[in-house]
Amino acid sequence: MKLLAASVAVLLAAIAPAFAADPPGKKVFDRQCVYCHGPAIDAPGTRQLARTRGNDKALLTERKDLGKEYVQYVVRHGLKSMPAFAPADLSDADLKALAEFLGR
Amino acid sequence: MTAPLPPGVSAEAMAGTLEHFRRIVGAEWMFTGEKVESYHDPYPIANDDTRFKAHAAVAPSSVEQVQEIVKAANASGVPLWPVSRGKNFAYGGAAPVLSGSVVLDMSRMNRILEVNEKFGYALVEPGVSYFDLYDYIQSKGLKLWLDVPDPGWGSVMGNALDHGVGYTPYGDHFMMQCGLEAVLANGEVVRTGMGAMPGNNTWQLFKYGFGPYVDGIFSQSNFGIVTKMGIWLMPDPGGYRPYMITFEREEDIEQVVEIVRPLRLANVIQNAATIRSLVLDAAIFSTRSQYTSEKGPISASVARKIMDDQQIGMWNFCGALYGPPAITDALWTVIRDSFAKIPGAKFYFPEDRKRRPDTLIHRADTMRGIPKLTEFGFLNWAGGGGHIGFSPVSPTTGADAIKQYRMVSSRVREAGFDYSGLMAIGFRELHHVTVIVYDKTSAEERARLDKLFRQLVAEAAAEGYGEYRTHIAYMDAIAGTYRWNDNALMKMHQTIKDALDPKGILAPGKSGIWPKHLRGGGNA
Repeated sequence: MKLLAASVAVLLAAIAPAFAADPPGKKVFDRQCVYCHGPAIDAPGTRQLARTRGNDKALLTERKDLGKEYVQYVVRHGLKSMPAFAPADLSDADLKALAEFLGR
Repeated sequence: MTAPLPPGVSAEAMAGTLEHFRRIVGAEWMFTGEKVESYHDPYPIANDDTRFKAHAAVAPSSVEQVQEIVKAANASGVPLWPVSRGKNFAYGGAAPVLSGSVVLDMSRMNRILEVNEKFGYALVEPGVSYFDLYDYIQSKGLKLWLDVPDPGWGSVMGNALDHGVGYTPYGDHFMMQCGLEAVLANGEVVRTGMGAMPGNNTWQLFKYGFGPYVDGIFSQSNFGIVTKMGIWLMPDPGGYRPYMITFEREEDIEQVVEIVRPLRLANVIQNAATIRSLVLDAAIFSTRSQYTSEKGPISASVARKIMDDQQIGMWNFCGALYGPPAITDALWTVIRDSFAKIPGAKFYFPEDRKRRPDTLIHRADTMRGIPKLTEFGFLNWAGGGGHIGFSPVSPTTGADAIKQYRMVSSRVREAGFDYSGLMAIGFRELHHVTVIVYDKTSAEERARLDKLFRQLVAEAAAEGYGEYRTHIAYMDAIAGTYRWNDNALMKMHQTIKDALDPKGILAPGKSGIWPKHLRGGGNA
């Protein structure tokens, strides 16, 4: 019985991350950013970052060098071909969550 | 930079009005100072930094709040610039024609009020994007298809009201509009068509109701603020086969369009198909620096290199067949045999395309109403990120198509830009959309583009070609070309404007229509 309980505990621990809720910022990313900056082969933001910064910096969700304030600044002001996102479309609260998700 | 004030409005009056707005929507949804920067035109052309700048922005969440805002604006004379989602990029985005206006951002009014599978329509608020509506339809498993423009983040309503187009058989978005609700400048709410009858159940089924048909006066206009709109949706056609036909030579456009006209009129070509230029298609997935380091427009040898590399032509006809195989097979036979008369024509289905990413694979999504942002890849063609569309309308004839192409492409190239364009096929006309990609950080390039654009407008008008839609910087110029009979149409617009909005608080300058106190030019 003890063995069974221990096995269940190990199993639960193993699968727990899969059931953990996505961080709020991921939800914002998936709604607002993924079409340009997602992993799809034709995502224009990802393709342009691959050209200008290299493949290792193409996907925003895998970047380790983005500051939270930088994320917030770019979203509100735009960068090159990327337009700014207005606060009625992407609220301050959502932007903060996005910065937490993408920024380091 | 100090926030600009509109003509005739004091700083005190503006402050008082903004305070009133703040009480209506809550402080969280009233934007001033640095937050207004996100409402600037992301692709500016003017080198005068005082133009097209909003003073503030306010974001209501309900029709009632819109009514209250309009009444407050009417009391103080503060002009409003309504936007559905503010994503009308290349046409000014959310930026107002008149500096000092307050942007009325309706992004928060984003309810999908109804999607009716039985009759094929949706009733939406201004803030509903193509992504939103698509996701809703998919989540409910409804057998309905959207028609989408290239950027999927735009407003379903805003795009239709600005006469935007897509690529399915429902490609003329305003043609598919049925019934709307608008807040007038005095705060009154009206419903058009059958919506004017209490208890009626055909608001989204029959456009005209009884009496004058007025929906059109709320499109590309400043006569009211549209708060609800019906849009017809295509039933799942039960089969789908996208295709691409490539043509080798620039001059082929003449014969291609001659073949297109009877096929489109007879609905053999079922959708709002496009004939796309080499650079437009190449630019989506590549940059010019991958092919040349030469300055100025690409040479013939570079063009050949791109064509070979990407399996595309000097012109690329992207179309699709909709329906069960028995129908699409028959239509394809006629289409294929018609275009096979053009030497060098090549025919492709998606399974014939091996390169990834690929133009046809991408267009296949768009032509079945899947919203995306992929097309924005072309902004990276030359670096710098700016773009604008010059879009004259012409009859669907080969003679007009080649004349248009030569007129526009020669001027564009003389100005040092690559020609990148498409001919969007309507039932009886072509929208010749030339997309000029420029370096928005270069004042010299912006000045060169401005000169070019004004020249294009004037030369097109001299040949009888008028633009269907434009950037906020050119609304006066283009309105001025629709001047038959001593500007009779503009005079009528002004009469309506004065009657519906006597204080001129709604979108001054939209489509060249100015309120009485601002007429005479120089206000933009």
